Amino acid sequence: MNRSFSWKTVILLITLAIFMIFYPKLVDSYFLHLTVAAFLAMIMASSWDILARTGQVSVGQAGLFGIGAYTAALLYQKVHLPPVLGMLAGAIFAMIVAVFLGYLTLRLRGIYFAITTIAFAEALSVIWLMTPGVTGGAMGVSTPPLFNGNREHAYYLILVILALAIFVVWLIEKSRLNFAFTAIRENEEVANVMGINPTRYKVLAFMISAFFTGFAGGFYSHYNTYIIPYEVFGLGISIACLVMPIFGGLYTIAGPIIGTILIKAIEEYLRVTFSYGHQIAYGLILVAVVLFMPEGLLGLWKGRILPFFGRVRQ
Amino acid sequence: MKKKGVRFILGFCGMGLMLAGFLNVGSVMAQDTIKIGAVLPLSKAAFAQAGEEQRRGLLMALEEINQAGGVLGKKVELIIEDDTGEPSVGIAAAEKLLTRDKVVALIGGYSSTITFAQLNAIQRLEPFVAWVGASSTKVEHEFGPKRWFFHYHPWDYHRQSTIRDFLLTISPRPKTVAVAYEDGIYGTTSRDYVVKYLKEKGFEIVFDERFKSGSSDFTPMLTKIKKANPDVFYWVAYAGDTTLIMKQAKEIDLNLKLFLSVAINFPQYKESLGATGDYVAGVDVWIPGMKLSETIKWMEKFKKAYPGRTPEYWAPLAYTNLMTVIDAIKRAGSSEKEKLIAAMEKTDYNSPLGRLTFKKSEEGGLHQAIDEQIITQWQGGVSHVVWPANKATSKLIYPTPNWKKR
Amino acid sequence: MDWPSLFQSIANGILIAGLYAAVTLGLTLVLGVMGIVNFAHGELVMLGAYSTFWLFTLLGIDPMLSIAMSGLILFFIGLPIYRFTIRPILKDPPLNQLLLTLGISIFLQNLAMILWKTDSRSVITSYSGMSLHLEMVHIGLTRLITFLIAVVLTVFLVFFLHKARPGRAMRAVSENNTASWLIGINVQKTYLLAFGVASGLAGASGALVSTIMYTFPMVGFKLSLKAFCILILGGLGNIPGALFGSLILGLTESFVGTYVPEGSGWAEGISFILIMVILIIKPTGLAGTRRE
Repeated sequence: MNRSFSWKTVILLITLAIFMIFYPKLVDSYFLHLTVAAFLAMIMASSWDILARTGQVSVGQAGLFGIGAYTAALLYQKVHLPPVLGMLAGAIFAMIVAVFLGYLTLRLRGIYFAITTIAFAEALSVIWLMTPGVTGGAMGVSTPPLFNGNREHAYYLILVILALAIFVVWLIEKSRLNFAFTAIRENEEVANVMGINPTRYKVLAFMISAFFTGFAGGFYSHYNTYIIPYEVFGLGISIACLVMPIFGGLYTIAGPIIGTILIKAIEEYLRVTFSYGHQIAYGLILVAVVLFMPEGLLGLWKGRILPFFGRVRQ
Repeated sequence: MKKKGVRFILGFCGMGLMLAGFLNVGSVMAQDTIKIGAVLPLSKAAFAQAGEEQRRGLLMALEEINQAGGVLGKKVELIIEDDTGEPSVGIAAAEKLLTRDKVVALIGGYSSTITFAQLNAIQRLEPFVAWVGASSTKVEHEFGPKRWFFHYHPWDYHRQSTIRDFLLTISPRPKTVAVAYEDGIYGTTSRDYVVKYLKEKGFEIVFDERFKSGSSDFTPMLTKIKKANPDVFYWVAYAGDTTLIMKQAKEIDLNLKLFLSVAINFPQYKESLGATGDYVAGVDVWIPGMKLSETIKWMEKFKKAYPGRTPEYWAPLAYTNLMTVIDAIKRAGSSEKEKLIAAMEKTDYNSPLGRLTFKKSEEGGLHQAIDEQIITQWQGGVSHVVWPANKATSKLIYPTPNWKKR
Repeated sequence: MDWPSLFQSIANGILIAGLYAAVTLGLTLVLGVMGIVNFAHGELVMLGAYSTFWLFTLLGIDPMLSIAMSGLILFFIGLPIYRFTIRPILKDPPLNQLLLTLGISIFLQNLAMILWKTDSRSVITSYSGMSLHLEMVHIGLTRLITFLIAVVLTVFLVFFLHKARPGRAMRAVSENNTASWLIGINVQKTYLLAFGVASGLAGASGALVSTIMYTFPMVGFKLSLKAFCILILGGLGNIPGALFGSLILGLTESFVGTYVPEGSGWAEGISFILIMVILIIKPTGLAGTRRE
């Protein structure tokens, strides 16, 4: 049984917290923007990982993201719901959709679930375009800048949500849920026999994942002030959500975080150096990870590099 | 286990920050240049063509300017950032150019969505913006009235008012029009304006439907149009769709008096359609075949710089973009913002697109460069200007001959 | 009753189904023989389309003739793809297979963007736009030829699987690869060949795509989604199912396009809506059994 709290951990966490709180004072506006974008990506990556723990791979997170984004934006537009409440509404609505979608589709095995999620996001995109009366259609929906453009406040908001997301993942790992999720992932039939109802747990994971993804969508719509269906339901978002945790290390807390940071850094570098198709890196990363390091960077670190330095693996 | 996790997070955070920080250290450069920043879409599939074309135009202008000694005795430095077609990257790029690189002017642009997000984010800085892109009136309503915002590209309604004015000059006047449009912002806004303008002038809209851009099969839609039997078929679509629409129109023997669209002068038009593309008319900002003296001169320069290429209007537009900004700096005698704005307002420049000045535009814009467009028609494999009369290089062929008789 | 419209609709639907079927054949083969859903199949089609375009543009080879050539080119591209990326993960959990083929798909899409930019490329031939004008319907010549070639490809595949030795090996392996191995079939070689043939089919259908439509780096992805829809509609891993599914999708798209108001907008989204509806109602697909 692991000691969950040791003094070293507490001190490290407090240092980290202080650093993060003073961070906006240390960097300029442009960098702060990059950081906010990175935090948003981390939330998406971590929440994707939650569902992945049950063995279900979603390639349609954009669907939930878009729902969250539009809920927040449309509620603001129609009833002037304050942004943060709008984001919360987006999160809750995405969660509700996830429950329905989940019960209907999570019985499907891996690939077919994945295909369904892609279809889900694309179908939403089409529906959105064809119903401009309700959704604003192709013209999109715009909202005034979040917190009147005060980027620091936006930063703190997203930081809190990110911390919450990480905390939730940590709670899952510490609880019986971890056992259930892992059992389902490794062998669903056996899990069933053991008394774990796979569908119910998968839906739970999907709900939690959807909450954060939906919130991220809501935040995105207010922060960027203007959303269109093509963008928020786009496949690019769904792919990004999965490349980051896979690269960093699946089914871990640190994996999605590390994966996001490195990918964002690589992306920025490539964007500045090449004009075209720097997304090719995503493809290469996916292939490389599956072939050579299925446990992602974290797995590489623990499995190959640490022992090299003579440390004992836990 | 968890300790290691936290340490990793810290360590990688640090690494990541340092990495990204280093990437931007490089932007601190020599002080004695005039820095201009441009944000272009260079890697997103649908936008990259226009972005690349703009880049070519900008680089041409840059070389010319610096060969002539730059401006105010200093060289001009052009920093181009890629918005990758994402609003948040567009915002980051604009911010970086303004706050880190400290450019004196922000130019370029393409997508209305990204423009809107960018301007929203940077307006608190009140930067000097001479923007080529964005045609959505959403941008015009919100930012047109800002004194620091100068805009080149025609707004959506300019195209449609050109269509209306053109149709009114055809004799005998066409009575019925079928309208089809792609389901994005481009198509939808265009359709809204054109339907409004045409109805005002007594045209009857007999078909009005949107389609999904990128469809492979337009025959159901074209069959419906055939049934409606309009005089004019007007559609708003991107290059790929237009190619298919014409090919399939021929397949189902759709005959009417005029095929009219928007973007029909893209480089692969002739390649992809050949004779099937003849007689199609379209509204455009500029074509290489225009007979203005500045156009001819500019085309010479372009051919030298990029042999074998046919430019789309983004190239001379971007060229003009940079040229007029530098021209304003020259006249102002300084790159200081207020003086620059004042000088820019007085711009009167002979560009490859015609005489360029900034005027007010109908829905709130203070500084609009282009408000007049041309109608071209493909005749015998050559794109001719057929309207307005003072720019025309050929007469409109109307009505369009039957497919079987060609 | 507006008969001409109805017949034209049906004709359109059947013709486009031909193209869809051609695209789905290779996907079905790989799924049937190896049990892998190749997310990168669409990109192989895309590469076939580009190869036809370049053969036409640079060497003047008529697209209809270059079908065989594009097919061959893709066959040889498929072999190393199989050997170096697919073979290592044959025994891995489906998640890995999904991610790997997805990665290849993204890689190829972006590679195409880098090499050939993003403009749409199209081929015109002397017979582009020609059509057969029957009593009540107009049938585009290129579409008709595409349809006929799709039929030819299907017949070829069926013959191959039933009469040719390697083909029969593939069928054996798909039913039970341990038993096949036991009776002396080289399972690895069979897989390799199957993937090659599937890629070749993708290449050939790519040639059809570039004549009937136009090609650009993302064209493969859009077609993949339709192919998945067809797989799910028609039962996974069997050819009659693929044909059946293609017909359903083609006809549905055509009817929606003609009869539903604003149908052209909805028609493209039909495939996704169909996927979701069918999988929700009947997780084993509309016809036939699910392949594990």
